[in-house]
Amino acid sequence: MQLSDGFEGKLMPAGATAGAAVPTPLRGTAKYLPLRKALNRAAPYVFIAPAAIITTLALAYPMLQSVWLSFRDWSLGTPLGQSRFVGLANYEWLLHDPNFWASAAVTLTFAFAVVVVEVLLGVMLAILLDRELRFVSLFRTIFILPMMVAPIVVGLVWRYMYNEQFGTFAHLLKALGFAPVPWLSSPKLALISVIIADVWQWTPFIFILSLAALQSLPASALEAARIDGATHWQMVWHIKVPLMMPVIAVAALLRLIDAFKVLEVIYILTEGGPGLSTEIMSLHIYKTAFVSQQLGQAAALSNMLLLIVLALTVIFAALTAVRQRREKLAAARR
Amino acid sequence: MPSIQIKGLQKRFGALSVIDGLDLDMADKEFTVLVGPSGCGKSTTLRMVAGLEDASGGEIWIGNREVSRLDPKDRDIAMVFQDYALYPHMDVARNMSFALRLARYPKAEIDARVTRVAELLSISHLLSRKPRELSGGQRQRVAMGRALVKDASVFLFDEPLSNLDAKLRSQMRAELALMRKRVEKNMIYVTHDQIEAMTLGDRIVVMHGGKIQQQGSPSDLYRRPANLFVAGFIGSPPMNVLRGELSEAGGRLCVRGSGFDLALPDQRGAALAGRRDRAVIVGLRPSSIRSGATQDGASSLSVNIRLAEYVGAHSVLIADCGGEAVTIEVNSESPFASEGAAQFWVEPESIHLFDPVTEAAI
Repeated sequence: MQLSDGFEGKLMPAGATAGAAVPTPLRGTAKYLPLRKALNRAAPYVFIAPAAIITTLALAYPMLQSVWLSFRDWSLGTPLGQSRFVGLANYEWLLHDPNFWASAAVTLTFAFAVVVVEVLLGVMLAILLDRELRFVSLFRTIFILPMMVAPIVVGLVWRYMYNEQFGTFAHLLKALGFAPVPWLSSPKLALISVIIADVWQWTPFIFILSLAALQSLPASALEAARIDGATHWQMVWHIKVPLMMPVIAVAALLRLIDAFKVLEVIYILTEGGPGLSTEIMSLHIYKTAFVSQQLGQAAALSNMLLLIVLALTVIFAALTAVRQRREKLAAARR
Repeated sequence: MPSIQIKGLQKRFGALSVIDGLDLDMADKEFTVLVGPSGCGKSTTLRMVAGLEDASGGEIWIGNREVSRLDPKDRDIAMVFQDYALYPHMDVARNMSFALRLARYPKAEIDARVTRVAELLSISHLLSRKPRELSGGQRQRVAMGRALVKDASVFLFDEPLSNLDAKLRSQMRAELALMRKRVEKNMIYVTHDQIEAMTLGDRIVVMHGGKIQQQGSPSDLYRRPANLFVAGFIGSPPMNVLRGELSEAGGRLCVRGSGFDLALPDQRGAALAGRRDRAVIVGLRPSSIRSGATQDGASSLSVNIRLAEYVGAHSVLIADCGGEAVTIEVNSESPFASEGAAQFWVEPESIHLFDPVTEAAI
């Protein structure tokens, strides 16, 4: 671009009208230059456009629609045109709805419990399997399998295993001479049972990310620790885990966000019962929308869930930004 | 303080033998440099001494202990790595004290040792910084500090200066040389840089292809290289290698080739008796080539100078002698032709001869 600009300038003395003094082929170039310039400027937007359009259609539109919907009273099965604008009534309702608070409590308990257990188990498994043993890659693959199973199937499998009469656990307990355990029918146990199923499915996620983090640790730092006299566990505790921390933090956040939105497995296992003991927010939203048929209220509920997840993400992004700024400052001190 | 002995050390990766029966004796408090081109097995040897790599065979003795089956931590060693290998999440003080903290030393002693070593290396002001807040040279010092704090009996250095830029490298090299005068320990130092080897080592071990080519003091290796490989590896600019033939004319022993006819010292006559009129490889140090002609004309090297590189006190001439490239070092103060044909001669005592087949020195 710059080259041809200079070229054009030299050939056109001040005051000369474009076209008159310039030979024909160059006049052509001059004529098309503005267009080329414009195209060049537009190029990045053209490249971004497909992604931007898809994001708008698939993400922003439903989100805005849901916000708009949350200000209206709309019953399932009636035309949207007949819905009424009700202002903040839906939000007022949910703040006074004990079921909302109950499901919020269940969701928080569920989400933090699964993340803590999955992180502990996943990191431990990764540390145990981060070595060159025979069949180790086979084990790694086996451990990752649960993550690949569709959540509905996971729900069905665990529902069968938890079954009090003919489930796998019932057989096992009976064979060992224990009384049957009401895995899904006791309000006290149901949430724990649901947590176990989720841990089974999603520990592999933490596991593979931790394993990847472990395998990318600086080899020489680990060798230095060996020479410094660290035992295997001292190395894990003083070197490996601290260095894995950034990856573990991201993996845990991703799991936390996901855990807030979990639906299928719990829907299949307990449908939120007994009582409200396993009714997490997304299930509550589902029931409000399709059982109570209150779409406006359901929209308000899902916006609350969105806010919670958004808040988590913002907190995490802020932490990352703080760390990055610290690192930049550190680099500047050199 | 113990000496280090390596007996018949072997390293195989599957069918590939990297080191095949290496023997090496290092005296107490000696600074030994393993030097050689990449892939010569020097780092593998060091890592086997450290215990980071298992030996496939042979023995490693530190003092009166055979350590080749021991864990690194039980070998009483400290090591400085090429990429420093600092613990990124610990500050400098904690990096340096890690080994002592693991060994549960009393806190007062740990502090005292860290402070003393930090002063020795002038890094006291960096103790609370993280490795990422340090420059390359500072990281290098911290890595050395971490090794020194341990007070181990053997120090291992794995190319510790090769990640630094040229200027910093020569500065750190000088500091290392100073440090080793104050710290009297057994040190094994691996490098591919022959200048580091020459300036730091008491004993230099030149390795090539998993074998020791020659070992000895820096001047031994420079003056009496055992073979063509050592001759070409030690010394900068490297030794010139020309093909020639031994002959005796009028009772005088000389070596001739296209573009040169160099007199040899008379006392070498006996050793060379069997090689008269046979091909030899002639090695000439760039610094032993003198400008002009001898009075009797008995020694002459005719070259065609193509380029003069001015380095400062001396200049390096890139020339051509009978089709072979020759580098010559001349004093920049004395006048020299910077292009075209020129005459040189070589001091008879400084001419190296090698067998063309075995490449061993004659």
